Amino acid sequence: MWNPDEDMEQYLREFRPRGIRPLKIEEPSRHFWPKTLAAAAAIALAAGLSIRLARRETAVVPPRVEPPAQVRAALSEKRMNPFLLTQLALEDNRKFGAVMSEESRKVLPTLQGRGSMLRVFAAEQRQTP
Amino acid sequence: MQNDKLTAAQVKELYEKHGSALAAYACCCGLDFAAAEDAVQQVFLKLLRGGTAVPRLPVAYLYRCVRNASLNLRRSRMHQTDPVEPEKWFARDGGAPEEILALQGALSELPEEQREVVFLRMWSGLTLKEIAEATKMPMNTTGSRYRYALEKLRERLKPKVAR
Repeated sequence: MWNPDEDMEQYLREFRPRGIRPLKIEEPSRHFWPKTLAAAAAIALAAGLSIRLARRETAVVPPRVEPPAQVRAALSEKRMNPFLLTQLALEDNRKFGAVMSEESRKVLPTLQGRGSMLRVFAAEQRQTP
Repeated sequence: MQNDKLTAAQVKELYEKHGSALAAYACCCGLDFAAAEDAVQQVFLKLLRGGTAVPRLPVAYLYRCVRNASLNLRRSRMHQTDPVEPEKWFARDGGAPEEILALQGALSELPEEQREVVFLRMWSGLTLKEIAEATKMPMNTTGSRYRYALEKLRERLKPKVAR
């Protein structure tokens, strides 16, 4: 019995797909590992050096400057009790403000008047040979 | 249908057996022959790199992969002009070039699913049962697609087949 599909199949089989170029397989390079290791070592070295430098810079402490004697005295004065100050702030705000101004004058270095910082420094400067 | 990873030897064997048919199939997707070779190589190199699980019958899977790669390549080469002279993706002993070009034209005009079945059957050597399994289609659908495709090809190539 004649089968048209068989005829067609037979006809199609006469055609062959055109040849294709061989599969190009990229072989892993022999020099891959030495290069990778060298790069990794260089990166590790650079990172180590930068960390060390950063630590050294942070370790340098600026020389301590001792405050003048008058300033030291002002700082060491006994301050008011925080509890009393809070109570005063709640009861009389104006008086509290005045007290705080007076206290700040004692504690903070003054730049005006006889006992000013500038005068103290100038006097110390004169004393040093 | 279990999925397996192919060894390099298996990939090479598949390439030697089906590479040419896959390239012709990629040409049907609108690529010139050099680009079709690139598309096929892309797919097989990806398989060689490993990590891709393929079905037990990998041929249909390869056709799908090549189709996708071809469409991607075609998209990226949209600006390129078509070759002046039509290329031949098939060869035939003692056949006239017009017959080859006629077949190529007829195959390109087939609907995608019919073309896939024809390629799998004619140039990748799968039985209809294997094609049905590989494409996850019922046997009847696969058979109908194949018959419709042959009918269309016969219509297009009538004078040449009757010769």
